[in-house]
Amino acid sequence: MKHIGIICHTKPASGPDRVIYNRVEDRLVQAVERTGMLPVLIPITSLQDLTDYFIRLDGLIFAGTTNIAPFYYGEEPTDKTGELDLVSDQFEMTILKQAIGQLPILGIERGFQLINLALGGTLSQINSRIIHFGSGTTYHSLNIRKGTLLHGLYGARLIVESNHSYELGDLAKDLKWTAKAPDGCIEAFEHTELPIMGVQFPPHRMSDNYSDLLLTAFLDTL
Amino acid sequence: MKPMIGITASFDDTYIINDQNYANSLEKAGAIPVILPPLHDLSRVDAVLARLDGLILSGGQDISPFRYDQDPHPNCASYSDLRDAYEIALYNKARQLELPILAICRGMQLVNVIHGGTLVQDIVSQRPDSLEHAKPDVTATAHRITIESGSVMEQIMGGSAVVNSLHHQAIDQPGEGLKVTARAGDDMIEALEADNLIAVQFHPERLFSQPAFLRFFEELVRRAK
Repeated sequence: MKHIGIICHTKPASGPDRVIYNRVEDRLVQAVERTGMLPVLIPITSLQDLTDYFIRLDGLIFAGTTNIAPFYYGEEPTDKTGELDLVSDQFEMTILKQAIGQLPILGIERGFQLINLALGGTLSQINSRIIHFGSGTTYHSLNIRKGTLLHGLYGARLIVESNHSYELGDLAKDLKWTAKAPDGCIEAFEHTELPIMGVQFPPHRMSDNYSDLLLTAFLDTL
Repeated sequence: MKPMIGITASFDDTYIINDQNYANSLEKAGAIPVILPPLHDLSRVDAVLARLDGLILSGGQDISPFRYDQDPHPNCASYSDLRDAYEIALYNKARQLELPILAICRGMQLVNVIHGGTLVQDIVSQRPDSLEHAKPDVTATAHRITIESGSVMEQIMGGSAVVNSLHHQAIDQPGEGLKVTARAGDDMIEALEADNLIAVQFHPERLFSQPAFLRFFEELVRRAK
């Protein structure tokens, strides 16, 4: 049975004792279990050498929704950046950079953007007429590139949930885009050599079927 | 290679959650921590434990009173059959594998129930003369405990200590095979022991910056190596 490490994010302190929680979306955990993998959650620590995890795990998932601090690609936050989680940024970047080439990696939403940054790409704030985020649940379509893993799973076109105020700027040179929104926004990629893939949309929040297809494909890379 | 120690998790409506003090305590004690979300398929506990060197049963919600053959008291709330069932399966398998276990608060109560013991479902209404055991600020000290001589508890904390406290339920009848190793001034059971098992009613993870409380995690890590 394959052990999948899902990286936690923190919930800001609340209550009289100011407790901070490590947390992962329950629907993502359930989606991983449903696909036949064992989800274990990796809490945020100040550990600098994360390789002891890699010996005991078969793959990693990076997810989450908080924007990554723009400092990581040489920009400043704007009024649309929202709340940042600098502790998560630092821990995730550390573990991700050490994991590349060691374990298969799946990036979802924030995790998708993080992989691009870790491999040398950039992000930019979305300035588009199609809707990528809003106060409620928003949707748009995707055009999926022929000959890619994603095309094999979903076909040429997919309607996805969308909730992101940043998009990929420069795509890292080792990544190949596999889906784009109608405005040209890159919504999915695969690594050209390593078992690393990412999606901007949240399959686990869309439907069990979409989610199971993607996670089963990830399981097949382990 | 550092030992990898699993921590059981709580949850809210959307997230699997775990107080970061558990992971931080383990990190400081020299382990790498992982959080274990409750799984629906209980047969997977074998695989979960196969890669772990030790286990922390963490604090959290009440245990279903049906697990110890009682009906719910009005103040017994929010128990989860999913979490209870998963943690019981995890504990039983971990015992079989002789993995070292540290059980905290709910974790100690769960261990007691698995061993056939019972719980006081609501201290304030059922034991009205008790000390205050549910202090909202769990970083504050709450009451003294007296520790059994010759116990592992004594090696960790000495003959007596002042501890924090955040629980509205408590051990009533101790379970079979569990030794009571600490009590509060109102006679409430504050620690239980067995081979490879240390169980405490208070929260050492919230005070791990103090050596006496960090020692619980250091002892777990020492046994996990």
